[in-house]
Amino acid sequence: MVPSSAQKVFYLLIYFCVVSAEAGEKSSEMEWCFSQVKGAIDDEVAEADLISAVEFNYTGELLATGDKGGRIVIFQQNPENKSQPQCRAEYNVYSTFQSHEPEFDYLKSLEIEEKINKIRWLPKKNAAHFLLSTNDKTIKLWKISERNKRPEGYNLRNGPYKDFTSIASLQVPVFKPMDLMVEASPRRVFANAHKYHINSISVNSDNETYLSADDLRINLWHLEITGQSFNIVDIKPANMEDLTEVITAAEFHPNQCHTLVYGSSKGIIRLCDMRAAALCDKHAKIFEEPEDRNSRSFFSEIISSISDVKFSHSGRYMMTRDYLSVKIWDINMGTRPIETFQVNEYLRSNLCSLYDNDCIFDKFECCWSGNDRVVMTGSYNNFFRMFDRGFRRDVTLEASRENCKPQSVLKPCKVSIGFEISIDSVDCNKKILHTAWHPLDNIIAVATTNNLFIFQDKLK
Amino acid sequence: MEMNAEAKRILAVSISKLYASRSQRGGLRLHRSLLVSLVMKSARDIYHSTVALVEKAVETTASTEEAMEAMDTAEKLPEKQPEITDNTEDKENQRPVAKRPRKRPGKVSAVPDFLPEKRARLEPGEERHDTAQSPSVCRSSVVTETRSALPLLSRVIPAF
Repeated sequence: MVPSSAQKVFYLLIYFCVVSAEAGEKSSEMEWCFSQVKGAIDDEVAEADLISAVEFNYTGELLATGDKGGRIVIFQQNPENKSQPQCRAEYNVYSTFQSHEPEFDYLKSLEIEEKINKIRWLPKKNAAHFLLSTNDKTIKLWKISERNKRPEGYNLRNGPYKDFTSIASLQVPVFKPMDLMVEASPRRVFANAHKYHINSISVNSDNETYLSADDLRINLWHLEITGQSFNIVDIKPANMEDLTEVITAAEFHPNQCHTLVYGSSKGIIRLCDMRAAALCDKHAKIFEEPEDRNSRSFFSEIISSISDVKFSHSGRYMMTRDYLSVKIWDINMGTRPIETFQVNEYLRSNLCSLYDNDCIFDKFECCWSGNDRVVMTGSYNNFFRMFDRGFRRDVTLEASRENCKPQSVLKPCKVSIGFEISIDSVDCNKKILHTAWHPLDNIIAVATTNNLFIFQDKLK
Repeated sequence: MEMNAEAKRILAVSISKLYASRSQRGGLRLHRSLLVSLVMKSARDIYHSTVALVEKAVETTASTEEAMEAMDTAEKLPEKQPEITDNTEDKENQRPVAKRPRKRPGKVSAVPDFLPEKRARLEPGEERHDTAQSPSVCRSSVVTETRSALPLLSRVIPAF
């Protein structure tokens, strides 16, 4: 029976099943345990507290979150628990600072939001940590350093200035221990280079440059130079009425400092080689899957728009996320993805309602596990999904305060679609847009609206 | 017809989204505006194609009826010819023949009915007061709002 175009009624059957696999198979499946949840418990969420970025640093020791209020909160893995496998996913607040403030563009009469769009850590070079954070228009380089000593014994001042006539002898100031203090200071501000809204930043493997991408352009920066940047991709048409495609995500290759990719609103990914030309308008390789004409609808363009693109740690593969699926591409083959995972195909029959309530414009991110075997992405109802590429298995888990007992094992959720489905069962206000996976361990960070959940795999 | 109604509804929703995006914090989002405009384009194409199909069907029906009438009159033509010959002698003083109206029947207004109401949007807290205005003032305000509505249909993105 063909469903009518009027409002469809469908119900989402959700029932829990305990993972009671055979012992042999059980050893190959990961079970996830709850570790911590950060954030307020209030039902009414302040808009400034909405989490908008989550990122582990290169060692996984630090976990940074950005919110809509322009703040960054950095959590540090508890060093005492690193040796205790069961408690290794315990993170405590390390530093909190205001990264971006709301601004006003007087020329265009536009307000610039302070929301943190992306956070990217720099590889550690010395005792201090560095990260890049960006809002719609400005990128900032932050230095996070510890201070646990302070000089004492100055000759001229000990707090207030001394009366120099009372000084009878000189002393050498010495460093004395003090309570640990973490300082965050802006070291560079990269501004006024983007006319459109910045959606991506990515640090190059050369540790000297990084890219920033907005809707129509990608700029290349040097970390030490704030006064200028090089434009390497420009897809702005001569006549804006001819605009058909925008850039939605961009990233540098993890190992090849000359290679970058960017995804577009048409579902196309382009790989560019900076060695070929100064301006990489002409792509070196294009990744595009032929459109399925049978499933064409009003909203085909929207759901095919790339919301995130991520290289694997090895650099051999890349992952793209669109509204309904995750695709794995071999960078040597651009004709079709090598794997496609349907994240929430049950939403396809209800795209009209999702368009009405604006949820169809949500941009979900995705991430790789440290060994590139598993990929993870978020969905609605505070569900997040993991797809095991090796064993061809997927699991749906829920980030909920109801499952907050320490070390409690998360029970996989089984989602089935019946013939009668209610759209009210899909809670579009509870969505997981941002997820992160520890680069060296099976520890994941999942951001709901205003809470950050940390899970670790159960060691067997 | 259902597709036509759905296309109209999607068009109306899309236009309201574009209007709302102008006042949202952070300015116009290019990506989102582009996606909404693509949806509008698809819906508009379907709407116009279904309207054209309906009109074509109406014309086909009308021409079929005319052909049927022509066939009937062709049979009666030999009897009427002497009357026509008499009328041609004094054409100048004949009553002018009622011309067929150039406007297509059934088309009341050129403005699609899926456009939002032309009343200005109020800021939160304001109340609408009906005031007596001169006809010239009302006309200029309507013209202005009509002009502002049209670019949304024809242009994808306002130039930065």
